[in-house]
Amino acid sequence: MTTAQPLLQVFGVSKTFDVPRRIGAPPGKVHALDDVTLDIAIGETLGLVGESGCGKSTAGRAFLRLIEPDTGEVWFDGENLTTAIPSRMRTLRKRLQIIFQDPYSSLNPRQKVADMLAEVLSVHKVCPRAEFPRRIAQLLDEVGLPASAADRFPHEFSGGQRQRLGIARALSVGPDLIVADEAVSALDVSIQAQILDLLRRLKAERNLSYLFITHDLGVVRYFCQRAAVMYLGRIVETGPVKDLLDEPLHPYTRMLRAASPVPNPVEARKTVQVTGEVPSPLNPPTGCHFHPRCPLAKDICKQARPTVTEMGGGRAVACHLYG
Amino acid sequence: MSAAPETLAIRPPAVWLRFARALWRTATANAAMMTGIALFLAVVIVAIGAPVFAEVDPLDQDLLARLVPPSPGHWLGTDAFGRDIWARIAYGARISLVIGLVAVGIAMVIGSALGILSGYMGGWVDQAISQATNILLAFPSLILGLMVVAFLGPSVPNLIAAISLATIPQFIRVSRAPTIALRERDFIQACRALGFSPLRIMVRHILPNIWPEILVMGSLWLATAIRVEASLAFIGLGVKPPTPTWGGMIREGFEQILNSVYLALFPSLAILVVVLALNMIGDGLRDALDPRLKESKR
Repeated sequence: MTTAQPLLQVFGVSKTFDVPRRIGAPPGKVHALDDVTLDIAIGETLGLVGESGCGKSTAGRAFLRLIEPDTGEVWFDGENLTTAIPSRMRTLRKRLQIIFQDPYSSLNPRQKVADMLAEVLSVHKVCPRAEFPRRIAQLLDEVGLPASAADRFPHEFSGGQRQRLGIARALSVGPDLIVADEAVSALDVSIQAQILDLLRRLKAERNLSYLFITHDLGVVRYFCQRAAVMYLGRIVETGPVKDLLDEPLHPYTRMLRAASPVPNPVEARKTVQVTGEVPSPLNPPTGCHFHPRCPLAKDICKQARPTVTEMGGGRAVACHLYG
Repeated sequence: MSAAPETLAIRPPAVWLRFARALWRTATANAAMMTGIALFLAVVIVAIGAPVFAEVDPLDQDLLARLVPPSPGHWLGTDAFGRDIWARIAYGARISLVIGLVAVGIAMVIGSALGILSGYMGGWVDQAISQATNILLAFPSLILGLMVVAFLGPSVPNLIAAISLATIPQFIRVSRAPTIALRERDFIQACRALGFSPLRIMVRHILPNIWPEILVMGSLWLATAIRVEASLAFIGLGVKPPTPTWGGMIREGFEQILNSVYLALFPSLAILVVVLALNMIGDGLRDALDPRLKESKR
């Protein structure tokens, strides 16, 4: 998989947010992203996994420059997005789209579906105005909605249908890469499967690549080819999904693995139990962020940040156990 | 398509129609708002049809009928120059309403534009606009209006400018806060991801979601604008006499208060009616638009 040409390359992206000063507390900074490096090949689906608050969503948004990264570079198809001037960026945005978690917040409540899609088509001059109705019907059909949906407002749809509308909006500009930010997390399991099937079909038909942000390892296994595990703003392990989930290297990945439901209940759980809370990102632990929760922590884990070790087979891990 | 789409819900009416219906429901259920609307409409009709409702010219002096109390010939009596008070109130309503409506209209447009800009852009733009707003808010609107009129001189356009300036900060505040809340919503982020320009996002995606709040504020500040105009006229900074204005009439009546109370009483009542009516309407609008209040009333 690593031999394929990368579509998106992220080098050392960091982002800190200032936390408003409270009385009696020092001004804080949250390191939402700490030196994140990853890449996505053409036609690949990369899962970005981690607990709530670990910076997954910030990562997705920083790669699209919806949030400006503090340092680091994001390259898309050989072009540096981080230094792209606004007009160039606007053109590039046609190729980079995003689908959101909450289908109730991701659509303008005062805009009809047809207006929403027509606006995108006209801003990017995708096709002549006369072809808008046909193109809109086509987009709706592609996401499995009837053409009659065009004349309706978002509140007239169910959660799953709204998610389809969000996908139609993302597709309307003909993207190459879609960031799916917990795109199915807010949906019922049955609807989840429908949406995942839709995304998979669209990927095949349009040769899309996905950055699939989720906390659900089951979805990652089902949907992604490669995954990156994130803990408190840092990538701790990357690798092909099957290897990463079947034989996790990083103790955190093992813990996540142990915490997610096992399809076969007879299979014994050999892995470590989940212990402890996620530390505050305001004041992350020294060295390896994971050491307070890690059953295998050594002294060095408290002092030095582990470097990334290539493990062969496209796997990499940032852990002193492998250093 | 891997599975049949879920069935579509029954189609409700367009947004503005739902808004109008919500208004109508609130108005009919809300006696105060109904009264407010009726009173305000009555004032508007009197102002528009002043020549019909008052057959006497408001500037005609009848020195033989000075300070006449309310009587069949002069419904509300006459002033120190024998001018008909009813006619002067009817024509004065025009000045009050025109200055109030135009001033608040201008303030609404400029104020919401600045508020949305401030809330959406953030950073130094927000800092600059917010600081300017705070400075303007530090002055009571009457004092601010007074300074502007004293500087530019009293005339209808200058009064409108003065009252607009005093009201703009209110609209900046009322539009900035919801804009900040909306900015983080996913659909605005989606607009950014789609490469929409900030102007397009502000006009097409933020404004349509906050205008009801702006409208409520408008109705409440219209009352204040009319009051400020009257106050300026009272202290002699309003539209120049002999043009009838409510504030000016109260001032003239004040000088004659020992000879006849009616001169000051009736224009005061007119202001009271308009301000009360607008506040009733504004409160009703706010109830109609605030879902939390609606829930608790059910």
